[in-house]
Amino acid sequence: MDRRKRTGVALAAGLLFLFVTEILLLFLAGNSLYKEEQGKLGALVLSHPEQETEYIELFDRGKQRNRQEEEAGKELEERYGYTPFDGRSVKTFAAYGIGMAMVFVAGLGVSWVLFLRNKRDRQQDENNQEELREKYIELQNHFEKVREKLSREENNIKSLITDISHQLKTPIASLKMSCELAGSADLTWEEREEFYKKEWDEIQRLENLLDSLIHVSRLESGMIQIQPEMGSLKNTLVQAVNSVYMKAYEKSIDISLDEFQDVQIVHDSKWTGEVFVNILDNAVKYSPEHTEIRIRVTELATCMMLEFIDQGTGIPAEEAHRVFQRFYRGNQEYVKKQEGSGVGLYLARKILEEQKGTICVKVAPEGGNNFVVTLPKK
Amino acid sequence: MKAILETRDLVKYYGKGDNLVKAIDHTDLIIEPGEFTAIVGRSGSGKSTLLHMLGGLDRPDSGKVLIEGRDIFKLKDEKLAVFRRRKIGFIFQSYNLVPSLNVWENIVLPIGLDGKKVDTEYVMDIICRIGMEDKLKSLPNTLSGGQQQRVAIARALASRPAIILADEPTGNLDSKTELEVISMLKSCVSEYGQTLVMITHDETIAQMADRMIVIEDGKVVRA
Repeated sequence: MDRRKRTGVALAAGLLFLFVTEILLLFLAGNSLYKEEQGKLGALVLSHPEQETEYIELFDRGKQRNRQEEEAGKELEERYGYTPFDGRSVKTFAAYGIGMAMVFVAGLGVSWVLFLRNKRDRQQDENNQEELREKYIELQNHFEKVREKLSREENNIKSLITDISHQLKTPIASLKMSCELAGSADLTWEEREEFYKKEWDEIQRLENLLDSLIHVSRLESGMIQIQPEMGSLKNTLVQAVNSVYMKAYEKSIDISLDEFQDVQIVHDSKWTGEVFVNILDNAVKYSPEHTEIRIRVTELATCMMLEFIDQGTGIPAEEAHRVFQRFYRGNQEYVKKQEGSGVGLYLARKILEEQKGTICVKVAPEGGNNFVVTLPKK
Repeated sequence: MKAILETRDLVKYYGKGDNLVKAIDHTDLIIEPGEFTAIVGRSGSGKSTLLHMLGGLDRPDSGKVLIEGRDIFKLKDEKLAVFRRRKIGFIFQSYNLVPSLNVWENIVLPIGLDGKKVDTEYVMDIICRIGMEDKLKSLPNTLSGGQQQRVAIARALASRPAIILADEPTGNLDSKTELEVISMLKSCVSEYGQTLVMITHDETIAQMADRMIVIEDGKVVRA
């Protein structure tokens, strides 16, 4: 039996009890009134036995008292200073009345308390229900999210394949053309040499492109596992600087690393190093000769902040949020002149986000780029 | 994808005649679950009004705001308040911490208001993440701006709302602290699978979002 049914039954039982008690009391009151009347009649007959028949007739008469009789009674009462409340019958009736009222009030009180409790219980039920409903919705949302994540990943991989094929098209087309020309007749030794050289360059470019594409596709398809381990941030950073040092030296670009207190943080040193290399590589590629790249590391309350400040032209503000998109490359001439696949910064952002870090680009005080990377300390 | 937060033809005007300001002018937005969306615009472009509508803090002149497909302005004020408390965490520029309560009390306040039990483990996890575990007993006025905002973020996250709405959360902070607070907010939100909508006038901050919505004169000009 559920709670609602039980309270219903309890309520009905209570009402029945109340009803029976009241009826009983009413019966008792009537009974005692009847006895009082009987006594009165008896007393009258005993004091005046000769008028017995008249008294009986008076008491027995079923019809209402007439006005005259009422007036006479009233007059008698007034004359003897007697009020109806002194009479036994009224007193009995009042006593029973009070009793009935008390029973009624008590019943009312009990049912009110029951009602309140019931209401509270119901409210609690409702709250529980609401909570359950919310949990259900939460779960539903979770499933929805998982499902959507799967479909998004699928779409992502589809678009990745499209993107990659697109990226490969141009160098292969140019390689093909080169081959065709080289294969055709009437070419001098020097011309042929030149075509070979071009082909070689093209293949080199393809190789570079494929390298970055492999990185991207591995990261996207979850084949690259970022494995954060406790390690020195300085080591990771210094290794990255070393790997681009020669390129920078060739362009007479000075890379300076401001002194900082080394910290041990949880990070994947291989892939985080890759991030730093990508940022520095870009800085070297797009900065003019005889400039400086400055690296500054600051410890903040919950994270480490690394700034890579170059003295190049800087990314225009309206492009800033797009450089982290896959295969996005700037539209400026000096960008197009340089080789690049539009993958480096995208990869950097992905790798950092995997480790709960962030990357953004600000305008440096001297107009160059300031790439700011954060990595949580724990 | 099913939207978690959606506006349909939302309109809110202030003033009359020559002073009429179209704070939100027939705006349609769709925000997907788990997304970090930055709403960018100059001051006065209506972005704060928009955020207030999204969070049910203010009623629009016309149009709808749907949270998980439910029209929130069909709810009565009282129900709306409960709904808001359960679904949405707010972060404001001015932190809005209660000065007489310590860090821990401030963080668990909304949970208490809802008559729920505090999931101590979860809340402590957030507190460790924001690096305030040794300041639990401190009062807000003894904290720096960055620390206060971190507490406000923990407060918004503590009741596990599906949506976090942040109104210029770093407006009062220097650029380093700003970056720190945003990166923390971002990582927390992605960790706990929440949806973050953040208002900012700073495009650098917007770079870190998954999506940027630009608002001008109450209209979405770029999404």
